[in-house]
Amino acid sequence: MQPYNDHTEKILNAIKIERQANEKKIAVKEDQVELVIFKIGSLTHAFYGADIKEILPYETIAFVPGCPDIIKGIINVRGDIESVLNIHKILQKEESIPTRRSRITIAQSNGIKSGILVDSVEDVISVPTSEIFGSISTLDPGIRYFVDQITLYQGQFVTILDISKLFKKI
Amino acid sequence: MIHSNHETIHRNTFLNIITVNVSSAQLGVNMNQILSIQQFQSSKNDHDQLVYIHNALNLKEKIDYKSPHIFWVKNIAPPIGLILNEPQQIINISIKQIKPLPPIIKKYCIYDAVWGVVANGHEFIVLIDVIRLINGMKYTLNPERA
Repeated sequence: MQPYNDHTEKILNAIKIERQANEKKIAVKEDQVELVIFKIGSLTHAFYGADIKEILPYETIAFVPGCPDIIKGIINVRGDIESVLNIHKILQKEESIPTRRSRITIAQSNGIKSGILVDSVEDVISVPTSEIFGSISTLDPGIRYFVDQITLYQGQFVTILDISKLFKKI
Repeated sequence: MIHSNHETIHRNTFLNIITVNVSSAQLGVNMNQILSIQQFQSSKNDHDQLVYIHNALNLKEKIDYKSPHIFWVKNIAPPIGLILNEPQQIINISIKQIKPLPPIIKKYCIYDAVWGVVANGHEFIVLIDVIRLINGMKYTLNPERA
């Protein structure tokens, strides 16, 4: 069969190019943000997954004399000593007694690494960027500084805490 | 190898550390900094230059001194004794076993005297330089008058 070079063929080529462009658009996945959903008391918050290196079960945190209240102490993570922050104090929330649901999230941002004790880790999820929204002005003053963005999780608004701001504030 | 003003420290240097429980922490003190240890008796030691460890470390938590002992610190004039609970054990550790404090602790811990940690599983010995502690603190001498 000889290749055509007529008007119809030009139209078919144009359609083909259009379809290919559409296919490419479909193939590109929407950007996703990974979030670690956790609880402090009855409130649900999130950390950016990129900032969380590990989630560890609760273990005894050794007290270090001379540290402010926002530092719970230290733990041994496979031979490395890591500090553990008291996020309840940082967010000006009532402290809770650790339970078997408590977790130590090992966070790293701008070269600083530390554990953060949370009451529970609920989930690790990927959220399309279109479902991440700017913060709202009516947030609790205790956490407003740490929140740039919010999202929805199980139908509820969840504040996303910025680890670099947590580390900066302490 | 670490060079200081006075001595050369090898990575295989060993230290004798005496451990003491303070509140929920286990503290370790380099025996090289201790002149002597004696049991504290308020009637006999009233005239001495003494400071309780909870005052020295400014701890909010109350400490139950079940068997108080005086740790007389070397190289301090006039001599000053730290009152701690009775010593638990003396352990010989290589400096390779000593871990530096995490940067956040280093930055926010108010004492330079807290200088390192020895980890044994989930148990820790927090190392305290008692000479730095005494030189750098605002403490109350003579517990009976405190």
